[in-house]
Parts: sequence; C-alpha cells; structure tokens
Amino acid sequence: MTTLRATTTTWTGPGRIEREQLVQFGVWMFLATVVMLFAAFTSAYIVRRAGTDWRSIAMPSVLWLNTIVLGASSLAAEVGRRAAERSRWSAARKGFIGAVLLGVVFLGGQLAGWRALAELGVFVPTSPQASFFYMLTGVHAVHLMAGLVVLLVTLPALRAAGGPTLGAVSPGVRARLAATFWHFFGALWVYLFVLFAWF
Amino acid sequence: MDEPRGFLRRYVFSTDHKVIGIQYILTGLVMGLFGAGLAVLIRLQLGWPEVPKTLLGVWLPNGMPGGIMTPEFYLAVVTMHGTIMVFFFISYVLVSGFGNYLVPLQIGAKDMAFPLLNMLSFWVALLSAVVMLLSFLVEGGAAAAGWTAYPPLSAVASAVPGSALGQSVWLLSMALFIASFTMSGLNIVATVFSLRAPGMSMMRLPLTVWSYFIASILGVLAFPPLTAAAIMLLFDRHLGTSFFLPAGLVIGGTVLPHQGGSPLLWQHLFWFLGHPEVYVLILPALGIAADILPVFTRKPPFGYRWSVYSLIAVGALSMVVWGHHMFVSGMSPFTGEYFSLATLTITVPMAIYGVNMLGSVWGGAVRLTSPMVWSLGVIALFGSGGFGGIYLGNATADMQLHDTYFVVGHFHLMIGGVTMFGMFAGIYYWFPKMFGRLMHEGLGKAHFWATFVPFFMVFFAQHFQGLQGMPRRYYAFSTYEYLREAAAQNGVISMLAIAVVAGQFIFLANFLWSLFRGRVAGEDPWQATTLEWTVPSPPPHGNFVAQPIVRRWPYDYSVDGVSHDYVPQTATASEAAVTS
Amino acid sequence: MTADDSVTRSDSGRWSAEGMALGALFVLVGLLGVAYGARSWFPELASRHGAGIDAMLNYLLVSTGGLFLVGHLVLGLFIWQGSRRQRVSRRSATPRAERRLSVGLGMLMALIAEGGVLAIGIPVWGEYYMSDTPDDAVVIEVTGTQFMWHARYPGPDGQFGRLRPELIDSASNPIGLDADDRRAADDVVWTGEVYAPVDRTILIRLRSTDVIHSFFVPSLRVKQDVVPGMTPDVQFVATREGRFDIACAELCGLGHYRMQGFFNVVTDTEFDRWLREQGS
Repeated sequence: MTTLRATTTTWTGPGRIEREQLVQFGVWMFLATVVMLFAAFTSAYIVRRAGTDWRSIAMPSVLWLNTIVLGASSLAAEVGRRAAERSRWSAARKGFIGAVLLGVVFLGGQLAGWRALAELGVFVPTSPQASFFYMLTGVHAVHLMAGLVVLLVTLPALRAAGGPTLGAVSPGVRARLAATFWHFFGALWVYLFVLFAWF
Repeated sequence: MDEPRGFLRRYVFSTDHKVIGIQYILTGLVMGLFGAGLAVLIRLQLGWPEVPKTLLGVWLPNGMPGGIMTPEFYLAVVTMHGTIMVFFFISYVLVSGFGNYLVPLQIGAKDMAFPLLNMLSFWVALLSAVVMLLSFLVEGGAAAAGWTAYPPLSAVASAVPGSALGQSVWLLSMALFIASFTMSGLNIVATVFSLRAPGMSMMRLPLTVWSYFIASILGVLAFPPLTAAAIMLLFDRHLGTSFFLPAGLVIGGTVLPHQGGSPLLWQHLFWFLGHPEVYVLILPALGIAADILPVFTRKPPFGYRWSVYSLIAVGALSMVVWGHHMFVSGMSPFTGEYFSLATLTITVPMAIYGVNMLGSVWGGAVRLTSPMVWSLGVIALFGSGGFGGIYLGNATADMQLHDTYFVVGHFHLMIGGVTMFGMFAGIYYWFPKMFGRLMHEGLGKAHFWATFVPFFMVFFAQHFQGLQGMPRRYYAFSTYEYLREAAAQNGVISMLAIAVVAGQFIFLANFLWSLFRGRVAGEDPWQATTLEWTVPSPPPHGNFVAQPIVRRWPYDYSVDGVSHDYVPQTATASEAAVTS
Repeated sequence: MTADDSVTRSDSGRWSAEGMALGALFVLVGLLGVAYGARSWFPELASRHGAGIDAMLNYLLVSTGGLFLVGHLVLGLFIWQGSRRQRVSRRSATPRAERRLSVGLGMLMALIAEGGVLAIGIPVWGEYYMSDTPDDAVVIEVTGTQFMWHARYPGPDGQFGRLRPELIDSASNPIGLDADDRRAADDVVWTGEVYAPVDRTILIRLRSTDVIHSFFVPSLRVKQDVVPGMTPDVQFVATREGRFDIACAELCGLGHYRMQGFFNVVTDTEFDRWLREQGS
C-alpha cells in the first residue's frame, strides 16, 4: 500500500510566521480564560451585593496612586514595544525595564492599600466587599506577577541577534505579546477598581 | 525536529505529543482501576450492609473496623469515586490522553502547538492525581461532601469529618487539575486551529478531531469559573469570609460567625462548569465511535455535516442550561421552566447525532472487530441513557427524580458508559498505532460481553430504583418502609457491578499480552483512511517525514470506480484510481 | 491487499454467528428493557398534584420507552443484516435524504420532549408552585437539622414565635425557640413526626439550621431542597390517610441516610384533636 502516500521533500514543521501566529493565538486564548475567571468573580460579586449585609468600604486613597503607576508602567511597556518593532533595542530594553520597575512599585502600593485598610480595622472577613477586595486584588496580583515574569523573560531577547529564542518567535513579536499581557492586566486592574469604587 | 536522546528525555520528560498522550492514558487507567476499586467498596456496602467483610477490615482498619464500613468512610469513598472517575480517569484517558495522541496525527501536524506546555500539563496532572489520592491519608479522611462539594457541608470542618483537611486537599488538587486541563485544552484548540496540513479544511476533519476541538473550547471556557468558586470556598474555609455561608448556622453545637452568604451561589458557579464538563467528557467518545463505524462498515458516516453542526450546537447549548441541576434548589419556578425548555432543546442535536450513528451502520458491510463492537456498544448506551436526560431535564418529572438513583443510573450510562465504551473502542482501535501490535480479538470481544451485559443491567435497573424514590448517597436503606423492594434489588445489582469490575481484568491481561505478543500491525491494519494510518506504527518522532497534503475528506470508503474499498486522505485522484 | 485482511474481512456472505449474537443482544436489550420497565414502579400516591407528576412520568415512560425499543430493534437488525454483507449495499443516501431523516427524527424527539413539558409539565409545575393559599390551609414549619426533621405548629395564636440560633440545643431546644417571645409560648414542636390533615391544603415552610437538606416525601411527590438562609414554601393537598416516610434527598453528612421522619396524614378531626392535646 506504499503507493498511496504523497511524498515531498523532508519537512521540518511549521515555519516562523506560522509559529508567531500560533503563539499569538495561544496568548489570546489564555487571556480568554482569565476573562472567564473574572467574569465568574464579577457575577458572584453582583449576587453577593444583593445580600442585606452588604456595606461599601472606602477605598484607600493610595489606590489612585497605584492606578497612575500601573498606567505609567503600561505606557513604558508600550514605548518598549514600539521601539522593539523598529529594532531600536536599547530603547526597547529601557521601556521594559521601566515597566517592570513600575509594576513592582504597583504591587508595593497594593500592599500599602491592604495595610491602610487593616489599620482601619477592615480585614478579610469584616464585610463582604472587604472579602472580595482582598481576594480579587490578591488574584490580580498573582496574575500581575506572572506578567512580570513574562516581561523579564522577554528582556534578554530584545537585541539584534534575538537573544535566546523561544519557539523561533522573533524579538519584535515577543515584545508585542509581552506588552499585550501587560496591558491586559493593567486594564483588568482598572476594571476591578471601578467595580470596587462605584459598585 | 531533533529526536531526543536518552531514556528520560524520550519516555519520561518528553515533549512528544504521542508519549504525553500515552502517559496520560496509563495514568488515567491506573486511576480508573483505583476508582473501580472504590466502586466495589460502595457496592459491597450497599449490597450486604450487615455482613462483615473481614478481610477488608484487616486492610482498612479505620474505614472498615471489623469489616463493617463506617458512614464517614462510605461518604469519602463515594466522593472520591465520583471525583476520580470524572476528573482523573475519563478526563485523562479519553480527553487529554487520546486528544494529545490523535489530534496532531489526524490533522497532519508534527506535534501539538505548544509541546513544552503540553509536557508541563501532564506533570501538573500527575501531581494533581497524587495529591487527590494522598487526601485519604489526612486527618478526617478524604473529602466527603460529594464530587459537587456543596457548601455549607464542604465549607465547615465540623459538618462532616471529610470537611476537615480533606476538603482543602480536594480543592487544591482540583486547582492543579484545572490548571493542567486548561493548558491541555488550550493546546488542542490552538493545534486544530493553526496546524492543519494543507488541504485539511475544517469540513475535512474527522469527527474525532471535531469532538476534541469543541470539547476543548468548552473546557477552556467553563473551567475558570470553577477556579473562582474554589478560591472563594477556600476563603470561606480558612479566612472566615462569607461568600457561601449565611447567618445563623449552628453546626456541631456552635453558632458560626458567618453572615449573608449564599450556598446557591456555589451551585450556580459549580454547574456552570459542571454541565459543560459532562459534554467535555462525552463528545470525544461520540466522536471516536462515529469515526470507527465507517471503518468497519466500509461506508461513509451518515450525515457527517449535520453531525458536525450537532457537536457545535451541543457545545453552545451546554453553556446555558446548567440550572437543570437545580430545579428543586429553591430557584424561581420561572427560571426553572426556562432551564427545562432550554435543556430539552439539546435533544435536537443529540438525537441527530444518535440517528446519524445508527444510520452509519445501515446498509454497511459490518465487520465485527473489537473496536467495532465497542462502538456499537456506544450507540446502544447512548440510545438508552440519552432518554434519561429527557426525564431529568423535565422540571416536573425531576421533582420526583432529583437526587435519586435515576440520576445515578442516567449519568453512569452516559458519562460512565458512553465514555468508557468510546474509550475502549479507541484503545482497541489505536493500540496498533501506539505500540505497533494488534490487541487480541477474542479477548477484546470477551471483554465487551463481560462488560456490556452486567454494566447495562446495573445502571438500567438503577433508573427504576430511582422511580421508586430511592435517594442517592445513602449509606443504608434498611429503615425505609417504601424502599423495601428497591433495597432488596441491591444485592443483585452489587453482584453485577462487581462482575463489571472483574471483567476489566480481561482487558488488563489483553493489554499486557498484546504489548509483547500481539500480532505485528503494520501501517494500516484496519484499512482506514485518516492520516495517522499513513505513517509507521508506532509513528516516529515528528510523525510525518514529509508534509502530508490532504486531498479528500476522511471517509472515502467503497467509492465507485476505485479498486480498493478505501482511499486514504492523502491519495491523489490518479493514485486512488490506479491502486490495485 | 495486506496480510491483515483476515482481521477485517471475515465475512463470507453467510450468516455470521457473531453478528447474530450481537444483533440478538441489542434486540434483547430493547425487549427486556421495555418489559422490565412496563410495571408500575412508583411509590404509592397520596397527593393531588402527585397525580400530575405521575402522568408526566408515565408519558415519558411510554414515549421514550417506544423510542428505546425501536432504536434497539433497528440497531440489532442493522448489525444482523450487515454482518453477513460482503459489500456495502447503501453507501450513503444523498446528503439531502440523510439530512431529512436525521433532522426529522431529531425534531420529532425534541417535540416529544418539549411537548411533554408544555402540555403536561408546566400545568403541574404551575399548580404546585403557584396556587393561592386558601384561608383554611394548615401552616407547618419543618426544620432540618443534622440529622432530624422538626415540625412546628403555630398554636392557637396562629403565629410562630421567634427563633434564635444561639439558643439551639440539640437535646432540649433543637430549633432555638425563644421562650421570651410571647408568640412562642403556644408553639408546638415535634421531632421526627409531622401530622397533617387529609384533603386540606398543607403549607410547609422549610428551614435549615446547618447544611443543605432536602425535604422528600416520596408518596406525596414532594421534594424541596432546604438551603440554609432561605425559607422555601411547599404547598400541596394530601389525598390519603397514612404514615409516609420522609427522607433527606441532599447529602447532609454522616447521618444523611438515617435522617428519616414520618409524615402522618390523618382526618381533620383527628388532626384538630391531636393539635389540642399537644397545646395543653
């Protein structure tokens, strides 16, 4: 039955462009699962909010500062991405380093927010909104740390030679994907903040 | 793609989808054996509650002192049986195992989209299984609140012994499982989406690949809400929050400090996952059966296009019907009727799919090989258990049947039976591809008869125990006057159930014997058309030496004017015509 | 042809014993399955709306039983015929014919399923959940605790007294009745037994103090989950006197299986006398 097989030259698998599209697709699929996760939390929040014991807690003012810091971090990542796509590697690295540093500052700021609440006597079980606040900021922080890891892993690749490769994806595309992650988690924070502050 | 060297890189920490698939299958089979052992314990208790099982009493001095099972151990065993069979047996073997093994081969790809992620997914899955098994050893024993883990029972340590540490370990293991399953599902979706060989359009995909594609999308979208619920339950358990716990609970003589939470919220989040999850399990079995039927009837499947549409429709509908698990939970009666009507619309695609499987046998030249008889078993079970769904989706009928043995019988025929029969059909069919040798035919059929007959009787009879009003998850029924007759049937049912488990040793023997002694298979022992049969058995690392070009759909059997009664998907028009 | 032909092509145009056996298996599944299901399996019926639930179930048993039978006979026949066939006789119907057949049958089954809900199910559902409560209805509060049912009657004042969870004591005060409340003085609390009159509307107010239970009286065709924090009502009319089992239908812990109670349906006069005796 050997005649029934088409033969061409030796094949090494998908090419670089295909791989890049694949990785992009994977990143967006992953972000879709994160959307579903927070959609579930949101519906729980809305259901729980209808309870008679719901009392809003005042958001610590440091959160406003945090939001600005995370926005700036996103901006830095964006600068880095644009530079990387124009092959201006030094600027790209600077942008990403800035994004990482500002991201760490944000996480510190969130911790300060928790402490500010705790000083007011608002702990995890104090009220339903406090429970949601601690839980969701915590879950968000975990995702953000994963985002930081992505940024840090991308950093060494931002050079002309492409640095250590990951699945043959070009540095420009890697910068774009890392920035996508980062913007997404930044936007997620804004969403959560709006949810907590006004709903 | 360089072939990895060294035993560890090749067979243990491999990124090859075939190795990972087989690792999943073997892990799942071991877990399945364990889950079957738990089933035997359950049936021993239900069949002969008063008779001491002295030998087991020696092995399990805590759970079965003097050979009589304690109620707390019974509940832990029931919970773990459900959890292991659903998540660690069927999910691993059928969904992740075969999914990994088959999808790249059948679409003409060298590997999965993200091989490293794939390997990671398996190791997390293994860790999750180990953690789940270890939960038997923690203080208070394994989780005992059922695989559905409804709070407050699952949230308060004093509510049931398994809700001490066992429930937290259960939740941890589930979190690992979800992480692993998401990685695996994401991989399958991306692979089908992006790595199809030239010419492999979506409507040329085998139904198997379609079923994995839909099941993986469902899994990826439906599992995150369970993660959310699990995190919230952990907060309630350990940090004193009140997501699921209302005010005024008095458990074990203490008033709990919780306020205002809603136990129903858990049920909504759980079933938002839980219902799509049963389709995640059953669709691959239906896909595999529908793909095996044409091979052994030597004709194209009946209504391929509408089978594909049905899979898509079932996937979409499964996300909006979760409330049919909660008809008597106290939800609004209007919502109940919505869920009832929505649920029963699933009858349309599922009936179409069932009729198509039946039609695939119609007029065929039926060759009764082991994979074929198991696939025919899938049709019979699907055409039996499926009707149970029409009762349970009907809110009025469900009022009497909810949480009775009718439900137990129904889901065992469906996500126990259809999936298991589809899985065995798949193992008999692809074993030669995986290991290069055919399984023993006579033993394969003996295994079928030894499984189908008692299996069907057990779960068919349980429907009627349910109609008699027998509630599930009971440790004993002796004091209920109205259940006198139903309880008397338990002895026979237990014997039959134990016979099912005993029959699986035929499979085990066949599996081991065939690994070493089975007849050498060659590339295409079944004379089938799909791409995996164009490569050697077992396929080399990287699957295809040359890029396969797909020129036709996967079901060109008994084509007029062609000398062979099958034409591989890669054959050109001239190749198909000249073969002799 | 490969060397493996013997595996896949054992047919010879003659009856194959294996094909007949397998065909017979599925035919028998259909025939014996229907024979097994044909007798009446329900627990004795003792409520008015229960007749509607039984009608719903009977409709489903007959309709799906028929489909089950036909499906298995057809499957058996196809295998029986196909296993002696050397060549495919019906390679495929035209796509259009295939579509007509499968979509048509699919629609038919959905019609049976949805039609049952619309024609029989919804009226019964409505009767059960949405009837008005008549003035002479007997109101009983039933509380589920691990692992006991407690019935409470409001007494002559017609009002239930206050409950406080911190007063709960499994031996002396299982539902936490507050003796300081005037309305509580004449409340009657009974554990394990519910008394109710025949042929009068019974309104049961359900509560749970700990985990989820489910109030299930098989003969009355009543099942309602009791989720703590909610107080669902169920309303029905018992049509026969008798002592019926109450079971718990939602896993509630170790003693789930022995959370048994009895629902006593007695005549109106017996009920009033019983209630008076308890009050005094």
